[in-house]
Amino acid sequence: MGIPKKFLKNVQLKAPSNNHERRLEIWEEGWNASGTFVPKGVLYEDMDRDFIKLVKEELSFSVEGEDVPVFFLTIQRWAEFARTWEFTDKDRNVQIPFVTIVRQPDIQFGTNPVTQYTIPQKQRFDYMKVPNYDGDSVGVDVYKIPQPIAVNLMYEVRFFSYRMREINKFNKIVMQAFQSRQKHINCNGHYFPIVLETIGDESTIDQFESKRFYVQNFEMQLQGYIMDEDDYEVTPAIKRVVTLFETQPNVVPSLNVTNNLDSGRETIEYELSLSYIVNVPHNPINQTPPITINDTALITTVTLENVRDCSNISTGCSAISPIIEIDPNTGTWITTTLPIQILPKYKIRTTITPIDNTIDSKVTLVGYRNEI
Amino acid sequence: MENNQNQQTKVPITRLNKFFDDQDFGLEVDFGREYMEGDLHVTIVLFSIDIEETDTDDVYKEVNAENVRFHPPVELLVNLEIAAGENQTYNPNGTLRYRDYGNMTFNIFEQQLEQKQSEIKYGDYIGYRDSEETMKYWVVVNDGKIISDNEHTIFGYKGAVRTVECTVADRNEFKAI
Repeated sequence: MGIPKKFLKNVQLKAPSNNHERRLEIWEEGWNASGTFVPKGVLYEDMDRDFIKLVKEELSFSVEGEDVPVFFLTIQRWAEFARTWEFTDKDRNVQIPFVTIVRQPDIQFGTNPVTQYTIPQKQRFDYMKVPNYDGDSVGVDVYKIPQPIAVNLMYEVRFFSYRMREINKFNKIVMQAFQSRQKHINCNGHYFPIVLETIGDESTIDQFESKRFYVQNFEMQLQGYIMDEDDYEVTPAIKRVVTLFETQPNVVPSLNVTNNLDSGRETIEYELSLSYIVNVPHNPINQTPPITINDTALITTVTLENVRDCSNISTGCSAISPIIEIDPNTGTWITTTLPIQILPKYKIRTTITPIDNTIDSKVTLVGYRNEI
Repeated sequence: MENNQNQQTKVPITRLNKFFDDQDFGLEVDFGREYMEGDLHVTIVLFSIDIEETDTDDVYKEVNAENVRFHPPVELLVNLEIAAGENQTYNPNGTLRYRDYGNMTFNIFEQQLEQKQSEIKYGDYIGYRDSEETMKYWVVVNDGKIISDNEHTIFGYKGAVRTVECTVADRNEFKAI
């Protein structure tokens, strides 16, 4: 029955992919076929296997309810018997109809793509970079594969039959399959075209006084390529490692010694003394007079002379000493602790608890010059 | 499609019944077997390939000589002829000469095969001890299964003898021992 126009026969819910998206799909199929990050290798026997599969599954048909057997023939005699005995009669002759496949043993360099001898000596090319982790650092392995070698395999598919009707049937199936001249097989994830070269007739019609039967010969060329997995190469890529050091700037580099933070630069020490002289009146008491800073420096340590070192109030420490205060040119004094970054125009003072109130005291601030 | 080899229908043969019947046929066969098996006593060994046990590859169904599995060898008494081997070369330019055994052709009574429950089929191997030290192997290329022609019948009554043709098998193809 005819189908009305504008009547959709097959409704595709998902739009088929094209171009780059389709290429990625094919690539992923190859990936999945091998179960690894590289395409699965393909050799002659893989192509033979899938060609036989094509004939058995897609070019097959039945006669009077019986599937027509397909025999792939090699020269080992008992192997031939092993394939055909199931379909033989009492005299051990294979019963017509049947299909035979013979592959010509001489495999030629391929024509898909056209052979060009441009890449010498099995040069391998980067195929993929696969991340890895060796328990310590993250890196990548570079998978390299050589250029596939294009090959052409010629197959002779013969159909033997006593009846024209069966010949027509098989011929129609082949014609429909090769409507676009070629048919593709998926061999280990690789798509190879099979081209129908010629259709010949080897029927024994003219044998007037002997057994007569039809033989139709289809010459098909599989345009494939071989990829040997032994030629694959996996090499570790160059790793770039970023090493981070976390440091504290309270290390006092000695003079003319290169520090770790700023290699190649000399460190210039800086020292500032805050003196407390007994005979000079102080307001408030025990506080050194403020000093205006002219340099930029980082104070990292403090040395005390006749000054109690009391970071906390406890027995023997009635007050914290020394208390260092800075006025960052704002008119407000801020109590600070080490390290202390000082800049020009800053003012600094300290409040101390002398050990002996009868002699002078001194707080020396030590650090190094730096740049802000 | 099923194998048609085991048809069980049997119909008595009545041809030549004025002069020849099944008993006469049996007598002639006995005479022939006495000559072939008793007097000549030429022995060959049949190595029938076990196609179920032989582990072949999936695509080509081929196997190395070491991996060919065969049924227990059967000793057969036959009348054989070994042709002279040809002096040949592997290369078409006349280099790499070799000369192997010629083809073997032997006759065997069907009755013997039936008694020994053996069958010779295409691709089976035949061993023949051509000297005290060596056994040479041939492969069956014509099992002579059809024996209804005049040459293999007794007075045209029924086939009695089978003629089997073999060609020499290299040790790379088959070695029983």
